[in-house]
Amino acid sequence: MKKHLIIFTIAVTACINTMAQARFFSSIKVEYEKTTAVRQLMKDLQEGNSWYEQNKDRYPVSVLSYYDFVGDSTKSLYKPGKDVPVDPRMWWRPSGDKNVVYNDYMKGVTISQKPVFEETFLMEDSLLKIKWKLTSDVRNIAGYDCRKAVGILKDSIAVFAFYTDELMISGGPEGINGLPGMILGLGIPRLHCTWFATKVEVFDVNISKVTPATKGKKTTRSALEQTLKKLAEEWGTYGSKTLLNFFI
Amino acid sequence: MIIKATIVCLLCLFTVPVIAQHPVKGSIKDTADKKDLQSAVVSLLRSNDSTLVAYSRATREGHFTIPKVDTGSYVLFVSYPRYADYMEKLVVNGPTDLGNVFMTPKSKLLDEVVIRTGSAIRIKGDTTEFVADSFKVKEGATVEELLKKLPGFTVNAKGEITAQGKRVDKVLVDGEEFFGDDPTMATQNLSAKAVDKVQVFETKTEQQQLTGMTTGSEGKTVNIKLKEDAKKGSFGKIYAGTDFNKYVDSKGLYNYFADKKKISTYITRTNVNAGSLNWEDRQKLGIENDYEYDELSGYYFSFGGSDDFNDWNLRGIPDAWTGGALFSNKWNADKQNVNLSYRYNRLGTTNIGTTLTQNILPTGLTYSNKYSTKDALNQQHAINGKYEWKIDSLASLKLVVANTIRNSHTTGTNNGEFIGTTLDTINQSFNSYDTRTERNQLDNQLTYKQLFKKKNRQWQTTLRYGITDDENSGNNFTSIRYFDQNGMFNYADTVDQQKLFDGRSTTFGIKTTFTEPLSSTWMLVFDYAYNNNHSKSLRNSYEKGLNGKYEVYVPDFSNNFTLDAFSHSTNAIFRYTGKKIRAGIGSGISTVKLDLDNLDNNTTSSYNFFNVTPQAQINLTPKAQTNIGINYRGTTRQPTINQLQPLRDNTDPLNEYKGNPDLKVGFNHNISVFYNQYKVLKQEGIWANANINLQQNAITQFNTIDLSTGKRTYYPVNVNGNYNWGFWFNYNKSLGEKKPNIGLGFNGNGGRFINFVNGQQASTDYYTISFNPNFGLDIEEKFSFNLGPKVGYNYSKSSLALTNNNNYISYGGWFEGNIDLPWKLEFSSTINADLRQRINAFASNTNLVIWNAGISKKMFKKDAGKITLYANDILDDNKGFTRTINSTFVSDDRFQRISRYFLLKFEWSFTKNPGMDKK
Repeated sequence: MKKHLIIFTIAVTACINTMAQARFFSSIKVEYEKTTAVRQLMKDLQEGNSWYEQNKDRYPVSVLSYYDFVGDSTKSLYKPGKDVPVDPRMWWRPSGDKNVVYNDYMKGVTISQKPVFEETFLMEDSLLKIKWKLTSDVRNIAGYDCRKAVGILKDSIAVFAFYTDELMISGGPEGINGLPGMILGLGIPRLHCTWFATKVEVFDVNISKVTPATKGKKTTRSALEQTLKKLAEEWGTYGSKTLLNFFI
Repeated sequence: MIIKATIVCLLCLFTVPVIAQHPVKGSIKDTADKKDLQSAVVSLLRSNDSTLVAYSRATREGHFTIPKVDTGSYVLFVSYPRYADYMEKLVVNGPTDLGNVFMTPKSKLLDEVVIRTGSAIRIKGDTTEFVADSFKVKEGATVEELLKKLPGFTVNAKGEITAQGKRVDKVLVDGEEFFGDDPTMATQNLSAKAVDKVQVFETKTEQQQLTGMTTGSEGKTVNIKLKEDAKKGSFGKIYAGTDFNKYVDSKGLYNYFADKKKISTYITRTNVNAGSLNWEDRQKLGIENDYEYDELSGYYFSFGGSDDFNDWNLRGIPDAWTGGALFSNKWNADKQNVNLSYRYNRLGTTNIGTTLTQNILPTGLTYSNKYSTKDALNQQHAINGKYEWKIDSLASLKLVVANTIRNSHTTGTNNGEFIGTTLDTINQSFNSYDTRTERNQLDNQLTYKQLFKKKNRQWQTTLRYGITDDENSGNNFTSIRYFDQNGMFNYADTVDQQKLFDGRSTTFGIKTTFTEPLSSTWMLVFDYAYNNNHSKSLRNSYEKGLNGKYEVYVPDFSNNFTLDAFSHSTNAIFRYTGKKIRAGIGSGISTVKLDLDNLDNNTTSSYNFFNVTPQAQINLTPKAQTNIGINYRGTTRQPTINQLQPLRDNTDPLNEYKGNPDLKVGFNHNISVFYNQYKVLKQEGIWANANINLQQNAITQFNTIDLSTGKRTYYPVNVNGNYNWGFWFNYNKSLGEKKPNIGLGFNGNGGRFINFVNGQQASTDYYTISFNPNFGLDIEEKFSFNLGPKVGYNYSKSSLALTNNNNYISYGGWFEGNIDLPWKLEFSSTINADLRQRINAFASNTNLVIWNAGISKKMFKKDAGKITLYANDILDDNKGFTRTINSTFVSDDRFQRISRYFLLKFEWSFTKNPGMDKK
């Protein structure tokens, strides 16, 4: 019994020692790999349509793209990263994939450059508001234990995020934010997209280049949404689902 | 003990319903050594739905403060890496100090407090989705029993369902309403095993779906998504129209699908059009067009679906029957699929036509007029089969077999006259004919495609074997009366011949294509093809012997030969794919050898051709939604065997054709450019393109007209200097929601055409330009109309008749509109006007104004039925008309078309969806 107690105490002490080494970082650089499940997306967009069944082979199963996130607990910049060419023979072209999102967490402001078809918008507004529910599911992403949170965006779009307490930035891919730590994994089922961090740098991160994009037609979130909504009505379900890309 | 301690509820105070904001503070400490846990995350969750309200991080001393918290009940949630989560109920009623909050390292915990979300349940927007297989039900259970197992569902004895506290008023199966609005029909008859997912969402009426507003009192809708292999069902459409006298227009479609098997049948009977199915019906029945990817051009193209049995080729009054069936199936995880179809067409036409022609000769103008009657019956049986096998992820095999059997029987008469330059009749002719043709065509194609681990490397080989059998027979009687210069009857001539034709052609070909990536942006496409065609053509003419039978051989108009054609061709194209530029450059070369064996005189002749087909293309995307392209394509134009053989054809004795063995190979340069831009947000688009064709050694005609008899003989001849051009411009803009669309169109074409008449070169310069704006307004569920006026100018000038003016203005346009009236009534109308200025060549002019209108009433559930009273061509003005202006003639061709009729039409479509037989 006594022996057991000693072992237990040693174990606990060892644990606490490692515990003391829990490190928190406040400036980081993250590379995200975004996976779009194109066939699933197209199937969804063209639900009940024989067109999809006939042509599914012309769509890639999934497509990868990369994004870089640089920032600290006050501000961050998310922008397209290394380029992966899309097979020109495939029938699919990404949309809403070139957003440059600058978030100022102190002022609660975002400045996002969003190329939408022929126009490039510079949207300045408050940070995207998401209703988050925390869960206790944990998943290790890029070496960090991340807690799963489920968010509801615009009262209808479900967002699944994995964030870590150890990175003290409330950001994530695109404009997704508002969790008590950095989002290293994100899934938006409606868009059939996931983002997962493939690289996280915490030392010597140069955040001097974290400045908002300047080019684009100035707009607000509601004005942009109004513009897109009008379009969505013209396009029916296909369009409205596609246009979701620009809301995040 | 410690675990329990962490989840003990500390505060149980009554909340005061006053909204006020208070700070919440405390300190985070380690249970073991009371160490301060810096940077621990402290979150406040709303207790009723556990959404995150606010969060903070602990300071170096472990203190935290959440400054402004509304009065209410919360869950305090603290996390720290490698420590167990701490959760505590918290009611904020005033400034709250929680004191020390102790965290426990995970290593001390035997298990953790977990609120797991079941992966069997997913939330998708406002929809909750249950994966059916995750909920165990007994064998043979119905959907009702499955629903009882789902969290949040209750089903009472009457079968009424409640989901998430609300009454379920609608059950859909795969998104479609299952047998009306009684939800129990679906749930009690469908097998639970067939269900893939169950989705629950708010029921919204059509109005709410438009506005997105809900009143909160709606029920729930349950959507049962079936497993792929459990899908069974059918749909059909019946369409019948009649005027209770002369006209019918009817159609029936039926489609049954079970698992991945699909069977479709259709039948049509009409005498107002050619009876072909429209695109929508074809799509529904799965009579799909085939798509192919052309590695050389880098584009997809589609083929199939077009034959003579469509409205475009229709001349005269139709009487049509069509029928067909299709079977398709997929198995082995869709790796193998088969598609079989049969189609029958029977199209009878009768026509009375007039062709008025002004012939332009170096010495003056002559006229030939023709009045004809024609009765034709065309029939076709087409069988198509396709089998595809995806051998593995890289290799696939495809076999396509197509067999078409066509026969036609045509009888007719032609009455013609030829009027000379002095306006005297030179000849009068009467012709009657009775022709039967039969063609049996079989085409087999086997394609093997191999992909490789290296991206974009590909190898594809196609083998092709085809047989075409032709058998024609025809009796042709022509009597011609010739007149002398004084208009007096001179002499008569009669041709009364039977012409028999027997032909058979077999083709064997192989084509293999390699695609090799050279770098991330460059690619080489290389192909080689070999083709061998052997054909036999026996064409013999007979005249009546003394016994009145056609048995006297006429060697002048008979010809029997065999032809062997061998060709080798190869193409190499370099293709560049960049971010904003796509380009390709390369060329094809081919050699063709024709060995002709004339069986009549046992002579053989050989022809050798060498063809080159250079091409270059560049496609730019300077910015989003804008596309610019430039293409060049050079093509060798090789004469056909019909053009090369020095044979005479006297089917029309007054227009006799003869081949020309001295023809040279021609070459065609084509340059085209396009510019497309579509601004999505502004809903504004510009589409423009232009092209020019320059021809070297173009094959045209050498005409000789004997003015004393009116007889024309012609043969093909090479000529230089022919060219043509065209452009097309279109601008469209929507002025916004519930506002009109406007558009502008501007297009034109023109060129130079050279041929020969009576030894003299005749050259025509011509162009047509037209301007057509359009305007439309569409208010959903109220009315819509579209209006497109047009005006054009047609210019032509022949070098033979410089003084003759054949220029004219054409104008008119179209209108279409419909109005939704009460009681599900709808009124619609279209007007098409085609008017033109009279030209000097003809005394009369043809102007058309076609006005159609209909009123219809929708009926039955989901508007599945519709009754329409339709009036076609109310002004009884419809005629077929084409005008051709050429350097040697100007011609107006008129033929019959269906004109005024009234139809009472009834349409009904039905859908019977999955699983009704699965009791």
